[in-house]
Amino acid sequence: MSYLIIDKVTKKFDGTVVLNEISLAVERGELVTLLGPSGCGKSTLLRCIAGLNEVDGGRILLNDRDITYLAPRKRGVGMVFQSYALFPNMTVYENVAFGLKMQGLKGDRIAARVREMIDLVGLAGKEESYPRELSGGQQQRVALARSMIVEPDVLLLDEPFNALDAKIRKMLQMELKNIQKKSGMTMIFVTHDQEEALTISDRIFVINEGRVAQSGKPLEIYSQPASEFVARFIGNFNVLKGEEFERLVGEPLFSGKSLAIRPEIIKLSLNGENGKGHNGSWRIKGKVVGVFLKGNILRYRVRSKDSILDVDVLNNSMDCSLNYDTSVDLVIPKDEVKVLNL
Amino acid sequence: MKEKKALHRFAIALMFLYLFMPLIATFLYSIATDWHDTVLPKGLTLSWYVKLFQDVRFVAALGRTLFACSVAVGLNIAVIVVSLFIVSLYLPKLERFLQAFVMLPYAIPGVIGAVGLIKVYSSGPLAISGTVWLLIGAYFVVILPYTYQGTRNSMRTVDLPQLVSAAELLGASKPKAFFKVVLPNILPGVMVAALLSFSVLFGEFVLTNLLVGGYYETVQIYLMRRMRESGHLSSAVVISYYLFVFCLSWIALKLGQNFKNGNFDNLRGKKYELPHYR
Repeated sequence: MSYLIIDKVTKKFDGTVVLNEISLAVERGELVTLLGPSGCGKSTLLRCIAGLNEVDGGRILLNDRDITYLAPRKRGVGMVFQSYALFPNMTVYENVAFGLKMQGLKGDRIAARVREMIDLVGLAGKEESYPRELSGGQQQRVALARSMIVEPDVLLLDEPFNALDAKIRKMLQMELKNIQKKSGMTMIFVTHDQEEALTISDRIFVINEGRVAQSGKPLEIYSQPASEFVARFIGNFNVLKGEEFERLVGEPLFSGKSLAIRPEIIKLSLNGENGKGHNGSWRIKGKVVGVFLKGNILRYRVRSKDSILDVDVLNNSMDCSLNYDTSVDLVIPKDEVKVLNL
Repeated sequence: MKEKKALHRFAIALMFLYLFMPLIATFLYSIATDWHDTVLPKGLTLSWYVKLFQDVRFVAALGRTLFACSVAVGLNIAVIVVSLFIVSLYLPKLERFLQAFVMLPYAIPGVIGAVGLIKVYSSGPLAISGTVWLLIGAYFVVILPYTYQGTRNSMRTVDLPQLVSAAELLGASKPKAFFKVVLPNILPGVMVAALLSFSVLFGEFVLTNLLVGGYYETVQIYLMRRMRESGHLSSAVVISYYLFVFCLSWIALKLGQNFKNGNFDNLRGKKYELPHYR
C-alpha cells in the first residue's frame, strides 16, 4: 500500500469544481511534483492534504491513517508556503524551534535539533537574525528548516521558489534535492515550472482541470507525453494535427490524430548537406523564420509549407551561421513522432 | 544647501511654536501667581499644583476617569481583536458589514446618543442610567471606529491566515497560534489604537456630562466645576492631563517597539539566550 493515497478527492469553491475526483499515490521517501498551469487545482490539493481546505468528497490516507477530516496539527504534515509565512516577531532560531516547542520539548534537546537543522540548510551564523533581515533565499531556507525539524510524515512545498531569482532558484532546487535524499523525507512539491519539475522530481503528476493528466518519471513525462495538453505544457513540443503532418511528409498516416515532436530530435542541415532521409526518418524542406538564443541551445523556427516547426540545436559556431530565410532540410526520425491522445 | 536646511529648520520650529503656544501659555498660567496686564506672569508658583493634588476630589475624579476609560478601552480591544481575528480567518465576507457597523458612532452626535441611552436605560430590566456602567458602555461604542481601524490595519500588515496556518501545521492550536504568533505581530498597532481611544475618552465631555454628570465626577466634570473658581487651577488640571497622556503615549510606544522586536523575554525580566548553542 502506498504511503500517501489521495482517493477520488473532490473540492468545490462556490459551486466551481477545482478538484474533480482526483486520485494519486505517493511512496515513502519520494519527491513528487504536482505540475500544472495556474488554476489547475494543484495548490488546492496541497491545502487539502494539509487540512487547510476541507474536501467535499473522497479520502486522504497517510501512512495507513485516514487524515481526511483531521485538524492540520494532527495530520503529521508540514508545509512550506510560497510567501514563506515566517513569524516576523521571531528570530531564525525561534522560528525553527517553534514546532519543537509546540511538541513540548525543552531547552537542550531543542537547541541540538535546531543547530542540526540550521547547519543542514546552511544558515549557521544567522540564528539571531529576524526574517526581515534575511534575503528571499535565506528566508526560504528558514521556512524549509522550520517545517522539516518537526519531522512530518510528508512535507508539502507550495511553489516555494517562485519569488526567487533564477540563480538562487536553481541553487535551491539542487539543495532541496540533496536535503531530501539525505533526510529520506517524503515531499510533495507544487510548481508550474516544467523545468523545475523535471530537475528535482522522482515522479511528476501533471494536473489539468482538477485531475491527473499524466504521471510518471520525469523522462517518461518528457519523452512520452500522453496528451496534447501534456505535450504543450511539459515542454516545447511541436504539436501538429495529423493532416498537417501528412502534408509535410507526403504520407497519409495520421488522419484524425495529433502528433508531438520534440524540437531537439529534429536534425537540421543546409539544403543538400548530411545525406538524405532514409526509411527510418522523414526529410522535409523549410526556411528559417526565427532564431532564438537560449544559452547553450539555439532554437530555430522553421516554416515548411504552412507549418511552423521549432528545432533545438546545441549552440556552437557552425549553427550560428544559419540566418533568417536560410533554406534548410529537417530530418525527423519516425519513431520519435508521438501520437497523442486527444 | 546649508542655508536651505536652516530655512527648513526655522519653518519647522515656527510651526511647533505655533502648535505648542496654547499649551505653553496654559502651563505659564498654571504656574503664575498673577498674570493680567503683563506680557509674562508677574511671579511663578507651584501652589496651584500643590492645591490640585491635595484636593481629594481631584484625585478621586482622576481615579474614576482612569477606571471608566481603562475598562472601556480594555473591553473594547479584547472584543475587537478577537472579532477581527475570527472574521479574518473564517468569515472574511462579513468584514465589510462589521466595518459599516463599527463606523456608526461617527454618524451619531454625542448629544443624541446620550439622550437615547438615558431613555433606554432609565427604566426596564437594565436600569443603569446615571451609573458608571452606562458611561463605560457609551465609551465602548464611541471608540469602536478607532480600535477597529487600528486593529484591522495591523492585521493587514501581516498575512494573518497564512501565519495561523503555518503555526497550526507546526503543532500549535488556534489559541496558541493567536497568542504566540498573531498577537505579538499586531500588538504595536493595537497599542496605538488603544492609546488613541484612551486619549479620546480622557477628553470626552458631552457624553460624560449628560450621562453621569455630578453622580460620577470624572476629571472633565471636575475641570468644568473648578474653571468657574480659578483659571490657574483649571490650567493646572489641563497641564496634568497632558502630562498624563504624554506618559501613557511614551509607555505604549515603548511597549509596542519591544513587542515588534520580539523582546518578550526582556519584558518578563529575563534575557533570551541560545541554550548551549555555538
